[in-house]
Amino acid sequence: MGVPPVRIRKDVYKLPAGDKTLEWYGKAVAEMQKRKIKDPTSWRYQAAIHGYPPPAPAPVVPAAQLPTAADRAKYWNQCQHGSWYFQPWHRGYLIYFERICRAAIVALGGPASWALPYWNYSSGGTNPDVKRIPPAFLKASVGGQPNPLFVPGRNGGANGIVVSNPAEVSVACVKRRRYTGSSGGTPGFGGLQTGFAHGGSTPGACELTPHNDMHGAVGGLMGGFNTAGLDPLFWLHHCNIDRLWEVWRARPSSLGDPTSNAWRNFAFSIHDENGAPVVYRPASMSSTTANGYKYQDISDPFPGVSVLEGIQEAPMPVEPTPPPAELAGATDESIPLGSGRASARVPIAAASALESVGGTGEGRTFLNIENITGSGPPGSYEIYVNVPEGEDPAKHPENFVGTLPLFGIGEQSSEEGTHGGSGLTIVREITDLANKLQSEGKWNESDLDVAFVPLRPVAEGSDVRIGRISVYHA
Amino acid sequence: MRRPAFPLVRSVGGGAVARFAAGRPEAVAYAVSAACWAVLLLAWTAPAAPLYCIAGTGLFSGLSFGLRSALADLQYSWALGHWLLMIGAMMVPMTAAALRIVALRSFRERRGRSLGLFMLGYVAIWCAVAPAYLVAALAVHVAGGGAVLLPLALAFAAAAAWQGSAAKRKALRRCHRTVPLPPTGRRADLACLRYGLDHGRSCLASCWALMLIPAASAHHPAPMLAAAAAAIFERMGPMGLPDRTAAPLGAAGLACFALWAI
Repeated sequence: MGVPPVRIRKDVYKLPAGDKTLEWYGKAVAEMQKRKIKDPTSWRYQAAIHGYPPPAPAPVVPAAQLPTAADRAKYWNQCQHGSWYFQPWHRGYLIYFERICRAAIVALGGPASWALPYWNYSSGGTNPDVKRIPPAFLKASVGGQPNPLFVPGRNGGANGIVVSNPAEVSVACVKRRRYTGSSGGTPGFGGLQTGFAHGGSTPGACELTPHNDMHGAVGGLMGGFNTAGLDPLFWLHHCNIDRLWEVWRARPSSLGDPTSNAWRNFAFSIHDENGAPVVYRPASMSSTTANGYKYQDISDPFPGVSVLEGIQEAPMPVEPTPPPAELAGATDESIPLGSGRASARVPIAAASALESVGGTGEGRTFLNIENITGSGPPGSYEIYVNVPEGEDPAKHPENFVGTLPLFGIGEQSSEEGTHGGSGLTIVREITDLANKLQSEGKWNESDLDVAFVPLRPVAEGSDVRIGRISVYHA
Repeated sequence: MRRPAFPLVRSVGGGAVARFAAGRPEAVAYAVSAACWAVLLLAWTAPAAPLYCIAGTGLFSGLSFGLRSALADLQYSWALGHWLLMIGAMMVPMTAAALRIVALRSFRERRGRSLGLFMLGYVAIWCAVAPAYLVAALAVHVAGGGAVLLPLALAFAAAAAWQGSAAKRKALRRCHRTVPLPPTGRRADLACLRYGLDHGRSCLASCWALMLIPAASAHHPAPMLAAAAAAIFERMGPMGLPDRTAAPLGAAGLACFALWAI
């Protein structure tokens, strides 16, 4: 078998005038949408690989029209989240989806060099418009015909302005040195070691931000595992997440992908452009060019910046997987999140407080938001610590920790998920913030006040609840 | 200065072992399992070992002659001690992921206490169903006239049918559930105990049919190992994929049936 030609996945905001990449993409989407859901190359089958069924009010597909139960069990509901398989699984998913699109495009008389574009919403230094949904996806119709790239229900309205806080599109994840991490502490760039995890627990740094953030920011179909693949924008978003894996790997500070057989050789099943079953493994996903594509731009977003600035990481030498972090304090009751500000006080154990920042280990501190459960559309929140009592957190950006995106919370709270409804757990590093507050005398050794502020209006009837907030030292 | 999470390990094995235990707290599940397997296998190769004599002559001495005869035919009795050994060997490894959660979500100082309370709840569930298994095993044994192959074939068939069911998959998913744990005090103790009970219930709901296999086989090590292997494979293998244990279990059932029929 020969080496496949290498195609270029281009930045959707840098496509030259008259470029037909999106036009052909729309035609491929329309063609795939005509196919029956039983067909592995159909639009709905491809979305179901990520998750199925879509929640009401989506129409229920009669069982007779669905693939067999064995087929569904093997090929549907396969997306890997909260797992170190997040990156390689989605890469394989993109590769075979792109091949299916290209085959449709070629059959329609389009170019065999076609490749998916990517949406780099984080490159807004010179063009703040990149944070908007690309215009080709915003119009319900084009030339009097329905626009296959449009779906109703996204946030942002006609302007496509969906990003509420620049932190949602932060790419600080690429500063992480390790691919994987440890419980309670850093989840690494790529996530914690898990088994098959369709709705795992703790996302890696890239999966959390910008991936989860942008799913929540776009909203609508993009807001849930079982509907995300039905939005044509999903595939451009994931190309960007896939591109960030390449950016991370190219950074001098990166320790590279896991070398464990448990990661390299895990088998995932999917279909190719001919509808034939194929198996791929993370080890075969490490090179983009070996898989027939590369990105227009994988330049370092932090050129010349040491990893010790911004996000803290241990100096060399460093173990590929850090030891587990130690619990320093936790709430003993669950915390509901609603449409307004919510807060909780986390008591810190005296012994741990003495060993806080700068103590043993790597001297890092992590805020864990554990077992977040809820149903309905996922909201997003801003997290602050130690905002002076009675004051508006928005007026204290120096106390801002990061975002709390709740993409997939419905599926991860369902007993049908692989973790039986455990919900979502996210980890935010607060080492820099803790150091800063400590140096300013604003760090209380006995407790931590954590506040959550909705990033955008929360859907009525939201039932989001945090199981526990904890602080870990590593 | 931090108190070690496992002071005994610290004193016996030194810092390296303690560091390993701190980083891999779930290893205790594998250690318990290995010890239980060792005792079970040792006992199997030495039928006159006191463990079984106690069970066969003491605990059940008041039973009727028929039952005592049946018990005498059993290589292993259903005494609680033996049941616990079997649970320790086969089921405790299933708790590894939950034990890790309990340990790492607890203060280092109270890690042993949290793990102990979790295991107390977990084992209590299995002890609660021990009498039902005893009665079922005796009934099958008496009805079969002491033969093992037919009951074993039926147990494999029941396990194969259950493993492929939707209810089984749901129970298995619950076995992967994690819960928030309060950090201190009675609330922490109760949460660990409740998590152990909940985990035990989920494991029981998931693995009850697999546990029929050792019961029907008079606890021969080979079927017991086969059932344990199926349980470990499905628990640690790829979740969410179609079950891959029903077919080999069904084949084992057919083989037993064929051997019985010959």
